[in-house]
Amino acid sequence: MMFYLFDIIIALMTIILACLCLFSRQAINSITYFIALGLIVALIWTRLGAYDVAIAEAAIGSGVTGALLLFSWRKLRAAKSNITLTENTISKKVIATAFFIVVIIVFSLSSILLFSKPNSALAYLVDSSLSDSGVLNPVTAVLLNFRSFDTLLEIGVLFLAALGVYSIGISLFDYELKPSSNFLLHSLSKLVVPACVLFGGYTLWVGSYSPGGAFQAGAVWAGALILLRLAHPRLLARKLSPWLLTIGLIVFIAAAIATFVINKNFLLYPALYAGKWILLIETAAAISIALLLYSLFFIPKKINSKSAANTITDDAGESI
Amino acid sequence: MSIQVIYLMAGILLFCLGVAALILRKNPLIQVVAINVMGIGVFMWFIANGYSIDIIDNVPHALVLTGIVVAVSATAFALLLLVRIQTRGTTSAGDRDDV
Repeated sequence: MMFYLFDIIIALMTIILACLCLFSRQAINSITYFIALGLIVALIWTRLGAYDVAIAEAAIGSGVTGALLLFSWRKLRAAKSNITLTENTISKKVIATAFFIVVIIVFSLSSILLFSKPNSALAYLVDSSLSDSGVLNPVTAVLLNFRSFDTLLEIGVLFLAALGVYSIGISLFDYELKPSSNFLLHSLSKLVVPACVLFGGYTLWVGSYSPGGAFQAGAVWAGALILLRLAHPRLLARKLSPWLLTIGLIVFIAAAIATFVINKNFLLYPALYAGKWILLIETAAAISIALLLYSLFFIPKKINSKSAANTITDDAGESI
Repeated sequence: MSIQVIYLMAGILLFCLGVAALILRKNPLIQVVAINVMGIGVFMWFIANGYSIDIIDNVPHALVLTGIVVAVSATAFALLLLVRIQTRGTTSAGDRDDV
């Protein structure tokens, strides 16, 4: 029982944080608790042996999502003059009823689960064909070899989201070119940005044989870009190259066509060079993931366009 | 009883809490957070399901990695739409839905 104590404490912490996050009155408290929740969940992923997911959760699930929420909270607070973002308190009875229902569902489902064994046939399948995949990290093998179509479409989804953000035409961060005078931000960016770039490259490289890969690298790089943009707005104020934004998708699709020509099968890499194909696709994917995630925050516009609202229709079409 | 069961239960509970908050809360920002918490619940269920002492199933890990990226894309789009709706009300001084 002592062995499970850690897990029980962590699981309880997750639930308590989720309750605090979802039922606190102020939106800013919710967001803060959500970021904390993401970090605790990343701890759970390492506990369950999902190291790749832990890195992605900490970087994307907690970091990027948290930053998106904070930015939009600030934007909403600045925009609202009489919009109330804190609603009336929910009556305690409603919460109690909902919680009661939730508890019933949990215990009914978990009692079913207690008597069912997980099916690990796929795990053995991945394990046995790992040597043919060209990489040693099973997660990378699944993502970029066995199920590479999923990853191709996933980058497509990210690209579509960025396109959607462009077409909405407002930026979560106000467009200002004045360098930030925040001393803390400046010294933090000096310390953290080089470390982020290095760690992202390292994650990308080791992704073939240990936890890491394109998505983690891209997320860490995106974090570095966002921090750099906040500290030195002028440095990154130009338009993002549309080629760099789409290079992941382009290389992936080109690889799919090339493999079709060679092997008469989409994304079936030549057996001897599979590792090199995967590394090439991953590098391209990481670059565009970083830029796509970054472009969710800051719409690249022409340097002298001050007000976002006026130039929506003019810029949305051509900026990508 | 193994650690798998603890996290399976926690995953389901997180999902249910997310659903409850999505229904009960009126603040759209917190509703977006609630959807994300539901997502975390699903991910936890997936990964706990792939966990066992002898072999760790890596297919759910890959699926969850994909899921995290798709979730952040959807969240960003939802938040931008939300900000757009709210700021639109202030720019054009007309009728506005109080959210």
